[in-house]
Amino acid sequence: MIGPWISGLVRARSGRLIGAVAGVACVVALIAVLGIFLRASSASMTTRAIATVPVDWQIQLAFGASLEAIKEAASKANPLAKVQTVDYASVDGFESSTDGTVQTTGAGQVLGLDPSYTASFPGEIRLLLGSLDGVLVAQQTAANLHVGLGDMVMIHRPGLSNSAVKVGGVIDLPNADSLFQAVGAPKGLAPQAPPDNVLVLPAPLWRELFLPQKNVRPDSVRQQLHIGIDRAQLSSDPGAAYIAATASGHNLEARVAGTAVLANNLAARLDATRGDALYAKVLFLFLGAPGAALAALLTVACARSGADRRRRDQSLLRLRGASTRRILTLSAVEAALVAAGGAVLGLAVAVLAAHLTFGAVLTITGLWPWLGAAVIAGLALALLAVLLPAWSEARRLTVAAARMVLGSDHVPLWRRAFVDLVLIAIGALVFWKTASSGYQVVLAPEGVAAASVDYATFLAPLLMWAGVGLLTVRLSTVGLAQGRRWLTAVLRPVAGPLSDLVAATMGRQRGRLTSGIAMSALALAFATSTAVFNTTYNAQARVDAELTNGADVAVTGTSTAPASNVMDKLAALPGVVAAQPMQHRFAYVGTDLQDIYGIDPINLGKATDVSDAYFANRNAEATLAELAKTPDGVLVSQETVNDYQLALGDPINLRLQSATDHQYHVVPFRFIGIVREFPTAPKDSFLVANATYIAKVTGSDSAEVVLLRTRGNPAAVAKLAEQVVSSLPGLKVRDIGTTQHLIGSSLTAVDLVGLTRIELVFAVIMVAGAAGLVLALGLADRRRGFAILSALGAKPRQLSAFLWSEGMLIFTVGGAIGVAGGFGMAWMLVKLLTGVFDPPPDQLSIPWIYIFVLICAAFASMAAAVIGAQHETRIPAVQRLREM
Amino acid sequence: MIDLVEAFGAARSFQRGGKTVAALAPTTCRVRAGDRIALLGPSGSGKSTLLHLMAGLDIPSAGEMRWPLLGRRDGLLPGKVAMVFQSPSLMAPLSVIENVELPLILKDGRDDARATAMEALKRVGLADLANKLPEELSGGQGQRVAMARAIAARPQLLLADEPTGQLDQATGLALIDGLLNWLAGSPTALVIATHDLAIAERMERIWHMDHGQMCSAAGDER
Repeated sequence: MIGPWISGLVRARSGRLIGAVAGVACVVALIAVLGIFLRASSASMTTRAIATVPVDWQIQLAFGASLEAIKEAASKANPLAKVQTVDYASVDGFESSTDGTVQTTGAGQVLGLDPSYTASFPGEIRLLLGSLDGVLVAQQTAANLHVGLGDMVMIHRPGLSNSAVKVGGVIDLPNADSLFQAVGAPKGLAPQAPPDNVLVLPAPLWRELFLPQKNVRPDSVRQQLHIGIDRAQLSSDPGAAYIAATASGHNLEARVAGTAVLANNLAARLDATRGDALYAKVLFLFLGAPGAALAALLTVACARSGADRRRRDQSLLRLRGASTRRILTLSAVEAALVAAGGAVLGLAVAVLAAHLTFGAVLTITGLWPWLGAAVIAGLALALLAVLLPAWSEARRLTVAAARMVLGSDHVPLWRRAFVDLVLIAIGALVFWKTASSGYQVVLAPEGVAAASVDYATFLAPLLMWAGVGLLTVRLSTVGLAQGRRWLTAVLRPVAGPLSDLVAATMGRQRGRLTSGIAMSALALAFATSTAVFNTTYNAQARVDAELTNGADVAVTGTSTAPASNVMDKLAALPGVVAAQPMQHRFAYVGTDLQDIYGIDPINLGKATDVSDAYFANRNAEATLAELAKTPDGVLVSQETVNDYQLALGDPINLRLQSATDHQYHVVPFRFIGIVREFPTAPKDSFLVANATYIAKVTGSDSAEVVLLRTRGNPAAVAKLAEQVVSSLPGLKVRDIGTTQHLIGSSLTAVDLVGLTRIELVFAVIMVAGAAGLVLALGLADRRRGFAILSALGAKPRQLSAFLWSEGMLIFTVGGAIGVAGGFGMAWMLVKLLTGVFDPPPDQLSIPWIYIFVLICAAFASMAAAVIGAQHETRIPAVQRLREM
Repeated sequence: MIDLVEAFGAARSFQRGGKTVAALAPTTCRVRAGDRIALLGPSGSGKSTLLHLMAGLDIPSAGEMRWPLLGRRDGLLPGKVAMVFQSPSLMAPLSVIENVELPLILKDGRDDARATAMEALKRVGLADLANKLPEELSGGQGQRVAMARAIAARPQLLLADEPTGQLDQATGLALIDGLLNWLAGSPTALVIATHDLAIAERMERIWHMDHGQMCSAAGDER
């Protein structure tokens, strides 16, 4: 009997089967894709996390320690890939004589490097001018000494005579903080700022000049080993990699105790990114789980839409003597068909989707458990959707009850107990409690091996999803049951004189309709919330890029080669809407050297966006206006305010370098506000002042940076700008897209792009399924009703009135609740996951075009279902009568 | 007297599995206002096929159907012609009163549809079941509602296809007697397809049908 049953199912119940298989396939595919995604991103997470660590270990040798012994100990603690010796010498200062003036600096550092150092650790030194072969002077030092290529610099060696060297190149030290860190400093000590004055010498020259200093002042000379370990051995999980990196560092420290101290940069970086890695995984749950749950609900709804027919089939079987066991066996066969079809289709879709997104996927380790879990989930869903209802009905259904077409009017327990409102209330309470207590979803304390996720945070969105879904069902049910009058009025434009009968039909078939409405609402809410979250994230990533880059295109030079020299040419480039100069210099606040930016506060906004969030008073317009009317005004960081106990209006003296004598002189300013962020500014303390005032007090009106706002593609303008500056050494051009790509290669960003791309496709598919498939299956089940209507003389357009009314109800009510709910869920998710944003958003960014497309897709799928059913109704009534 | 419906050699055949099955042989007959006709024959004799052709629900494969008094085929339903079927033909989501008024609203969205429908229910003695749903009715009650639906629009031609097929004989006879009573004095022509001789004998004329052939010609008296 099973064979004929299967062929009968395929022949006569293909719509229901296809719907169930599609639903199971959706669930299987989504879970499989999430798993593939998680494994693919995890596989490269450690690599990406430590990509920017230039030197893994910095081992500082104690006086008299054996270099070879330390090297050997290090190789035993961990396989090594690169080893370089770096010598450090502290000097009293540098001096230069240019243009008839003498410049001197304070204390500085001189490094001795092997010629192969930059090849081993390319991230430590960036050549700006000249060549790496000779004596290199750091950019700031060059500015302080006012030296360029070929100039002589006198080194004031402590205890020894001065020594002069010739500048062969100007460099930037992007990782000066770690290069000059106090290795072996106690934990908790405030990090020391890198030296302001640095020279780099070839190792032989350094030894020639400073080995004698070591004899005279051994405390002023030290040696380090810079080591790159074999990273291939690190786990792909940053948390596990952190534990391993820390353990090998401790192993080394044990081996070299007393002879060397270690700065474990690798472990420190992994420590900082463990949280990021966990956030990436948390995002899967927050953004992916609702999709899988929705697909499961959709499958159950599709299966339930054929429950009436299935119930009648079952009663017919029982009338013909089939036992309960036989009935359940046949239902199990149907469930197995659905599970098998859904699993195969779902896995195929998942592999294809992942392949298109990530490339080869089947070689990813740890993948098969996820695929297995997806198949098991599909099987469980098929049993839940098909076999469980059959078992439930077989246990308690009477033949008479099976004849009932509309089902019972029994109010389910959850409605009587107001479970939906309770869930929403608890969800809101949990959200408020966690939000008000300064929660962190991911907890990865610095220096502590264990990292954890606050899973209780998941409760809020989970309860809200469930509550909103049930509330939609309640409102739809009550509205259809008791709102016949308003429904009749609303349907009149579509159904005309039949509107009352259509409303009556819909009211009595409200079970199926409310499922369709709730499914549409949840699908649209899922799609909307994912899209809004993704758009908000991208918007914040762009804000971050804007802060980092400064503008669409930024041309950065030095004091000796300022970008303002080519300001006119840059402003005239095609695609440039506005160009603004910005000074970037350095000023001493007490003994603290800070970046100071000189701007035109009135016109700066033409070239770059200045957000309210940049300032403590959250009012960019007012702050810049205040700066404009206070020539000696200065904006400082909160830290500076705290350190110097400043109040608004207080005078503050800074020391700026004069362009005339290249010495630092005291310049009075007035504190007028607190700045938190600023285009191109570092995360450390910095200052913002009027460019005209700085020009006046320093004797130089040049601007090191030019910011460009572009129309169209910034990368294209950047290319043109590069041509302009190509003949001018030291000038660098960067567009916002490149910057966004660089900073956006953080763990969360990369993962989020791929994840949301896949989820958005699934969301559209599920909207199509919720809005169209449920409707289509329901309509298929009502063929008999249309046959009767046709036999009574109903014209096609009158039959259409029933169809369009149902479709429009599901679309409009589901759409309205869905989009509104999606916005609400996105707001909650942004609040809960604020840790992934940099900087945190002030408001949601709404993808209006996407939402419009989504709504159109939902309408199109609904319309397709209705039009498809209309074709069904054009079958001659007499044919349907025969089937009756 | 002008005929309500005329069949001139109307025949109907179907293709099934490559074979042509003649459901109705060429048939010539006519129905006039006030006629009370029974189509008597076993299952598969072509009774339903002939009724469908008379109602305009189907088109003859050969021959011709005409409705001199009723107009074009596509204007017969609803209103001028009404049908009662053997199997339950009520719309499950609609109440009894809503089912009865359905053809009236389909026809021209009449404002008095509800009142007219209630009047029809009273005539068949089911006014107190107006707000019940079809699944709450017995088989006989369901068929009476179907008949109320048929007579509510005061059709000129009422076609009943085995209306008592799913009822016991006593209930079926009572149903037919009631129908004849409701139509007494009315110009509505009634054609009932049945295999029950007791029901057929209640009609003024009996047309015998067998294997798609009408054995007695139109105008045959009993």
